[in-house]
Amino acid sequence: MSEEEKKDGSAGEQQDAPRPDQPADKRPEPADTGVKPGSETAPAKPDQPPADQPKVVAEPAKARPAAKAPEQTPGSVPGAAGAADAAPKPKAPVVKKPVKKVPTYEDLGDEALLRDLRDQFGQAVISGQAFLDQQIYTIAADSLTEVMVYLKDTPKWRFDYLVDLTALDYLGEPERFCMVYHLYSNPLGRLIRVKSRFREDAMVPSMSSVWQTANWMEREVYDMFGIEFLGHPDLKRILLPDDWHGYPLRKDYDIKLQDQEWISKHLRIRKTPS
Amino acid sequence: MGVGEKDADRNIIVTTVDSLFNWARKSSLWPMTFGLACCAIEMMATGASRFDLDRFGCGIFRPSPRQADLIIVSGTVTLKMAEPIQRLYDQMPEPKWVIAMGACASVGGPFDTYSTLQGVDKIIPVDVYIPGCPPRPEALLYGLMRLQDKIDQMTISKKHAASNQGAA
Repeated sequence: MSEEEKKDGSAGEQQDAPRPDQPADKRPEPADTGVKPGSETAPAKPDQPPADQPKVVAEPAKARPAAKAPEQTPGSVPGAAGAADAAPKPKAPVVKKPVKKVPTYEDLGDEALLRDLRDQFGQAVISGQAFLDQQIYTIAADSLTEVMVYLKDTPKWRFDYLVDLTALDYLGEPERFCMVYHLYSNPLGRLIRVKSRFREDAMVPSMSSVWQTANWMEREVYDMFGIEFLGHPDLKRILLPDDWHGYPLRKDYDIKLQDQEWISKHLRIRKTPS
Repeated sequence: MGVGEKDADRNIIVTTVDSLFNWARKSSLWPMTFGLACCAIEMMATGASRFDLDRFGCGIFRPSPRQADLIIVSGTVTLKMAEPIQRLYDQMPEPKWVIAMGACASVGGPFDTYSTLQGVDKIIPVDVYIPGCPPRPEALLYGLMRLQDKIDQMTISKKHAASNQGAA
């Protein structure tokens, strides 16, 4: 393309000099003017100012992207010539990149499970949202146990499999932690997400009496976030050593922070030879 | 012991004994099963039939540290695991060697976090570091052969005994 531009500049110079009296748009242009708009967006070559002037007139009339495609060339020559006096002919279609639709959270509206929960628990069901193909139900903190027991035991919705139990830390908000539960119903083949916000010092009700797998998952959440679970049979650390201080997945815990007290107590760090 | 050491450093008796002991030691390095993470898979692959460890004499992995003379630390060493590693290393009888296999065992690898020990050489002396994530079996064999070269430098002569157990 730069080769063509260079050719343009030299060809333009030769043509401009002998015929300065001709109107700008009648000036014969070389076939590869299609790349000229690209040269305008690129740093302008010093030998091209006379040749650029018809392009300056032509450019605003046509909204074309920085033309790198040589296939625009056949269409551009008559288009550039007639642009000064007529509307641009749609010879070279402007290629627009397809804009991806950004997925957003949408309300579930009149969805069956949401309606059922709202009938049963009313205000405790804060919202039901859909994101892509997922369903997310936000429940108030104080009714969480009842909702979970209902979801598990009702014959209509038998969410008998707790897939995952985890937490989020929204540091700075009054309800700091958000418990996230993924429930799967084997009879229905349906996977939902249940979220619930808790304050930092609140005791979250333990789900280990409802689903047994919650036992270790809640131990992991306790280990990483420091959230204590009310009614948990054996709440202690599971991944980190038992006498570790600090809760690493909280947002105010530095990623590289190691408990030096624990290290000095348990490990003999030797001086590595330099 | 040091036979005939008063005048010559390395006389023919010492060097012959040295070469005999070193050959025996390097040709029968029995490693301890110590696969922690992904590098363990590569270690298993090295021990399998395509890249055989047994032809180096290292094919017998001992489950007990008291019967092993080589520990190949293969995998990420967390702080929680570092304590048992120290204890196991202490239980190994002399002469013992350590190979740090992979990036995690050498320097902590990609995991510069709250839970990872940044290199097993912070707690035990390492003889050979093998970089890679994971190192290919050929790389592990090359590291093993370099360890064998290191063992070749050992001597029973007291004057030159600094080269024994050279990792500080």
